[in-house]
Amino acid sequence: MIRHQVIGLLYTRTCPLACGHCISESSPQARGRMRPEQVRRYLPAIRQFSERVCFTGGEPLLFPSEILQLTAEAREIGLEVSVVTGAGWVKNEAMARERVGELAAAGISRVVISWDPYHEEFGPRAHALALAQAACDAGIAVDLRTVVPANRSLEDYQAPFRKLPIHFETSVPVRLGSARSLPEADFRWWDGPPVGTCNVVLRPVIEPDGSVYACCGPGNFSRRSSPLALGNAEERPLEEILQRAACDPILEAISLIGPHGLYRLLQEEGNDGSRIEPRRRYSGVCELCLDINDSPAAVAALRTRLEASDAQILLAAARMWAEEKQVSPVPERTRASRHGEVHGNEGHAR
Amino acid sequence: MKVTLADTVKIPERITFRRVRDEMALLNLDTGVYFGLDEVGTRMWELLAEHGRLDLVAQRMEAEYDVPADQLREDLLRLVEELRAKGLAEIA
Repeated sequence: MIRHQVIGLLYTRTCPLACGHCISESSPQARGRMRPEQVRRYLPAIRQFSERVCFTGGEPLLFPSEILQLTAEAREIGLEVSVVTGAGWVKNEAMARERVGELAAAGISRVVISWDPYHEEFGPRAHALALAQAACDAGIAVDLRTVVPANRSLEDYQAPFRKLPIHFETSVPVRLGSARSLPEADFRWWDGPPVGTCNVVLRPVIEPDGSVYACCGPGNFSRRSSPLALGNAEERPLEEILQRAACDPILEAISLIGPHGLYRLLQEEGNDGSRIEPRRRYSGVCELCLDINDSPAAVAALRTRLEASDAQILLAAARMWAEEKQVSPVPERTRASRHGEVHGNEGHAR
Repeated sequence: MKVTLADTVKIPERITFRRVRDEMALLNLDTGVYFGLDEVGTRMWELLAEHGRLDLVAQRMEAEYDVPADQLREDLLRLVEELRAKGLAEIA
């Protein structure tokens, strides 16, 4: 059973920036905003399934008074609160310090700053630096989330922040949302289904219209039948939606063995229409995840396949590896057991 | 050297294991290689982890399973040989 690492509230799609890689297609023109009363309804359910809530967007800090109030309310029920920001609202250092002071007083424990070449097109680096410095000074943990095109140097964007005690997160663009219009050279390409696990599936996100997705990536682009599309919290209780997600073996398997692990399990089956025809190339695991989970036949086959004892052994090994190494595993494969014999196969966790 | 019932088996620290329904998942934490044991192998493993001494494991298996003693002992020794070959167990 999944314990969600954090549950995201996509508070608004509006953003002062219009980054070319933005998976949520946020921009100054984008519309869609969560109402505070919605959040108040969601918070108790979120608390049942996670210790953390995150305001994301768009740019949630376009609505600072609402975020401050809701942060205080989330803290009251024991949630840790973080916020994701592109720093587009920062006009100068004084403004950054004032807002950060308010966030700290409200109980925000982490600020995730998105900063990379795509963000830098719309604002000076100094603003992101001022925000990071102010947050560090206020005792708020800072993550710098950097999405670097395959043809650019990560160091160019992280180096200015290295003097600060912050955590760095790095990824390449995902070819979804606005990023579909990026040049091909921005992506890292795999010639076949890419290997790799996914922790983002442990971080569901709720959109302004109440839609709940298992992740902030391909979930939003999934078919309604996909396990990544969890339901709508304006139509059904959020508790019910999150409970179903927490118990979904496909979502747990994505976190443990990745979409490639699911792909391999499907390919081992007979060709009954559940096999996924591989693309010529992939820009990342999200595309493979979408292809598998958008196929009702593949999903049905996987639900059966994951119940089999060899798949259960694989997942158990992957759980042990993750617990021990604190990273996501990818053991390779196992085969059906025989009486009193060891069976198995080599598989490296990378 | 051939394993005998006079030997004692030790499970290396790098090996971790977990029961999954009636079976056992074994994982080598150094390499990421994993293995599975079926129901009987799982019981043998549990007894190996508990006792180490193969004569004691054989006695317990004989008490628990309605199988000729010779066959059980043969299966046990074969399992231990395989475990040893795969680095999952050592002779103390």
